[in-house]
Amino acid sequence: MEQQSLICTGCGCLCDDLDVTLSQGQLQEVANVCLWGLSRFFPNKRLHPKKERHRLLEPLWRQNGRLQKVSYTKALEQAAAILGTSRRPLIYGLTNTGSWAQEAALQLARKIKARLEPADLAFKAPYYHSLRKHGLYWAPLEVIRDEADTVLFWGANPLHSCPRHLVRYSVFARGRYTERGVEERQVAAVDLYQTEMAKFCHLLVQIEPGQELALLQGVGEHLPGGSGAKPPVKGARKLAKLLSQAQFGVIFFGRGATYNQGFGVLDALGGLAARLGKKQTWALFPLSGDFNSQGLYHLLLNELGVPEAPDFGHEDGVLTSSMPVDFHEFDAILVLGADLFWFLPEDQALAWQQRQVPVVSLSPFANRTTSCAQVVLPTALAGLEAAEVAYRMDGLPLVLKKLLPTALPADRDILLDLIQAV
Amino acid sequence: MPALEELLEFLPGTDCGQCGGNCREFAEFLLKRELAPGDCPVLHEPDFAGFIEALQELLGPAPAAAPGMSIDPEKCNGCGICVTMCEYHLGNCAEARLGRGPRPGDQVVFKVVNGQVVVLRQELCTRMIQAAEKCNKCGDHCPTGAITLT
Amino acid sequence: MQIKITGGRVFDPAQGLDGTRQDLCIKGDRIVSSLKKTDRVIEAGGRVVVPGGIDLRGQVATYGLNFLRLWGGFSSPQELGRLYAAAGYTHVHEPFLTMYTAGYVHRQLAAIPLVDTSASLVLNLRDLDNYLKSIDQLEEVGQTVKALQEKTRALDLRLLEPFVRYRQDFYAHRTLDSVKTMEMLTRLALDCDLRFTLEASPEILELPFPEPGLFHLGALGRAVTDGRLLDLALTRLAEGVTGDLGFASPDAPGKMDKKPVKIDLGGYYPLDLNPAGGDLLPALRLALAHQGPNLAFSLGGPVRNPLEEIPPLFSMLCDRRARPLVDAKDLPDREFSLSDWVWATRALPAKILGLGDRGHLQAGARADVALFDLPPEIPQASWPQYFGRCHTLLKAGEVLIDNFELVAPETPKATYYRRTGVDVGPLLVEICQYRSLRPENLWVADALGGAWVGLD
Repeated sequence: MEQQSLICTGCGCLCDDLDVTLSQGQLQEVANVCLWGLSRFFPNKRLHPKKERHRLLEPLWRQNGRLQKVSYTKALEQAAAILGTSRRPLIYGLTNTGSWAQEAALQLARKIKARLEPADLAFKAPYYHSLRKHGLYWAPLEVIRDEADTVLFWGANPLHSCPRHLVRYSVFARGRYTERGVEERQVAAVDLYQTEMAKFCHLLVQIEPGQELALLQGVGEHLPGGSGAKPPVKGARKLAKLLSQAQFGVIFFGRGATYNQGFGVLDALGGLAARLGKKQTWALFPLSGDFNSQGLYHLLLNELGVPEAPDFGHEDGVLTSSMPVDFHEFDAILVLGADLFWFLPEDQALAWQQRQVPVVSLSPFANRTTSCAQVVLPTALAGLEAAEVAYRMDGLPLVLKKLLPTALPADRDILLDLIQAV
Repeated sequence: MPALEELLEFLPGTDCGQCGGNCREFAEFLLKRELAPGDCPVLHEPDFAGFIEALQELLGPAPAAAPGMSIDPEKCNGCGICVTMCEYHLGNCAEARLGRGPRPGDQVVFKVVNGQVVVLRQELCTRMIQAAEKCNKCGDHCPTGAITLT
Repeated sequence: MQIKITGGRVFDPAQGLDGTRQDLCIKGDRIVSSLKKTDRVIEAGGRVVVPGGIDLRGQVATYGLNFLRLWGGFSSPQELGRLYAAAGYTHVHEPFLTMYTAGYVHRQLAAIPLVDTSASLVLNLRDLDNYLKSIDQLEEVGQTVKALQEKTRALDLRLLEPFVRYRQDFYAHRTLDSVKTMEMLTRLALDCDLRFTLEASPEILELPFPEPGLFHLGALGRAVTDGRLLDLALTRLAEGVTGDLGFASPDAPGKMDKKPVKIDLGGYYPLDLNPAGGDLLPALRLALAHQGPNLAFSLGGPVRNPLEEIPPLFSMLCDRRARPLVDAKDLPDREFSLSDWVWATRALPAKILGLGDRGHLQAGARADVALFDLPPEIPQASWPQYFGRCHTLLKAGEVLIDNFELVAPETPKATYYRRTGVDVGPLLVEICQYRSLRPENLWVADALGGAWVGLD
């Protein structure tokens, strides 16, 4: 029986205060972990009452339409053959993998001249676009928990994407200058539904789909210096009042902000933050659900200078795109750190299968993508069975430990083997 | 509620099976209060004098005696808001007060274990030492309505 | 490997060598006075031989700097390493690392190949406010600072705001003005054997420096915006405070309007990573007016491309005709000699950073040597075009660049930090309690940077 501290890879919060109890190399108990994070550690625990995830333990290879067990060498050969002979390969996912694996994937993308598609491009590209236009005020979560007195969640429900965010960083945390925690903060949310956030939000503005821009326009008109015209959407006036009373405010936006006219909404949110920021301190902050999404964009910015999907398959240099990929272009795909087929609409997934585009999938768990794949390579769990580095959603890197032994290779090692083999 | 391994320290560890299972399983039953420390036959041997008392102390008074706090595991998502908001933790557990999870040895009313909040030391709850209606912070702030106080 | 560099003109102000024709012997990673046998002879006829460059204020890994790449024009960390080496540098020192951004900064630094790296720990005095006020607790503050320095793997200490001010009115009673702060810092430095770099500002230049030897003024160029401040800066330098120039690059003409990029590190002001275009003249004026040995060369903002940014500044210092025409006529008439340049970019930075075996070419020094192709007959005015890119670069006795080509791209690099040997005490525990991270995860893990070299 042994106790160890662990960093959670459940979401972009990277909670570092988990205490795990190990017995004979097995995980017995994890303390301080939310239900979301727990599913990273106990493969068979139910993430959702109706879903179960199976841990993959052996490489699989599709023969005669069925996935069959095969040796690692054979599976790797097959994967290398698929990717090596492809004219237009795609590497997809990576937001739920460690930074070392991301670096290796970028290397592989360069070598096989692939496009590298971050799984949450549709969420992050509008944000970076907005930054380019409006500039940036950035604060690490450490400063936010210490000082933020007004928090707006836009299209984000942290209780479902990163449950402990509220307690550790944004709402309930008692920081250095916010010692009374939630009592010192004004909390607002904008969402399409009445969510659990209503329980502690001072203001929850519920809007209809498509009203985002109208609401933002209405807010603008009721900020100091605005026209004060009657807002087209209910709640704009109250929201403007709440925002304008802040000393240090943060707009956390989630995927919901980008479902509908993402570029427009983020542009307007960026504009709002910049406008509010003239008099007060305001930061615009993406609530990354995937645990190392920030690490991937950090890597892309570092290496390529552009936080978008790079495409190495063009003769005239690297092209980057902020628009989500058109899968029809590609004739082979490597998926890791994401469940592509879970996100694809039914018709697209079907079309994909009809075209018989081979999929190579690296995953610790069985998921929809692995069930459609040609080759499946199981991986060690980063942060539990393999050491890695991950960037918290505010861009601070943390080292994830290896606690448990495993016979499975880390995804980075598989990628490095693939680089050798193609 | 103590951690499982704390209880195991005061069990024989021989997995003799006399109680119908091994020591770990016995400890799990203790936690669920479906068995009592005295149900282990081996602990009555002189070598283990004082162990039953130690286990009783660890387990504390039966929760049935406490003013009712019920946690609905179907609703709880382990966000930990209750742990941070708890009035007892405010003054007695800096880790929890500041938004971090309590450390293993910290004396806390409850904490999140395996994605669900579980009561560890209900006797520390403000409702136990003062008038029950004084504190409803955990229940009031629970966004999913998993905690009910009666 | 035993290498002899023969026939070059050696510039090493530390030894008083000013273009002296002298052979340089290298054994392993050190410079030695003589060699019994040589494995390789590097012919340096017509070249100048100087110590490897040290960028005292190379803002290359600041937390949030990556965002600046959104607007283009920044070299990647991999390129930065190559460009610094091409410019004859062997060490880059990042100025801004804080308690919780240390991991980020070190991981970025580790991504810069070839050149060695280090960083300054920026202290937030608000963490120490009440302790700073009382003299009996200064010892504890000193120990805390030292522990923090080791835990964040920083080489030296820096202050952006030598005062305690709060953004929250509620804490107004805990403020500390800059005069009082300076007094306490001086005491702290004296009692605990510390040295502080203060980021220069008009406010700081006004302050008295009772113990000038314990302070360094960072990026003076942005602070000396008028004649009076220039005089103040010159006085401070004459008193013995060291400083660096902090040349602020002007915005390129016709560039689109500049977007604000501000990073909040929990100070009173955010760190401005994209300040309005600077003016080169104040730093230039200061450099030419200061007659003593206390002024080092540095850039004043994030480094985009050292190979493009440094040579034009070198020209301006060394050649009066290269100086900007407007307003240049009232500049001091001095021109930097090569020895002045070597002092400002090698010897003094090494001294300030406490890298005793760098910045000079005496026996025992680490063999960081740069050779520039500069035939003696070349007039001073043409130096820059010869002096921009180095012909040969050795780092720790390894030839990195040979005949302008990078020949050893895999040469390992290291990150230097000060090993203070002080452990975390109660005050540091108190400071850490407000962090979301447990202290053990706050401190820089080995895997986030390196390879580590701790200096005692």
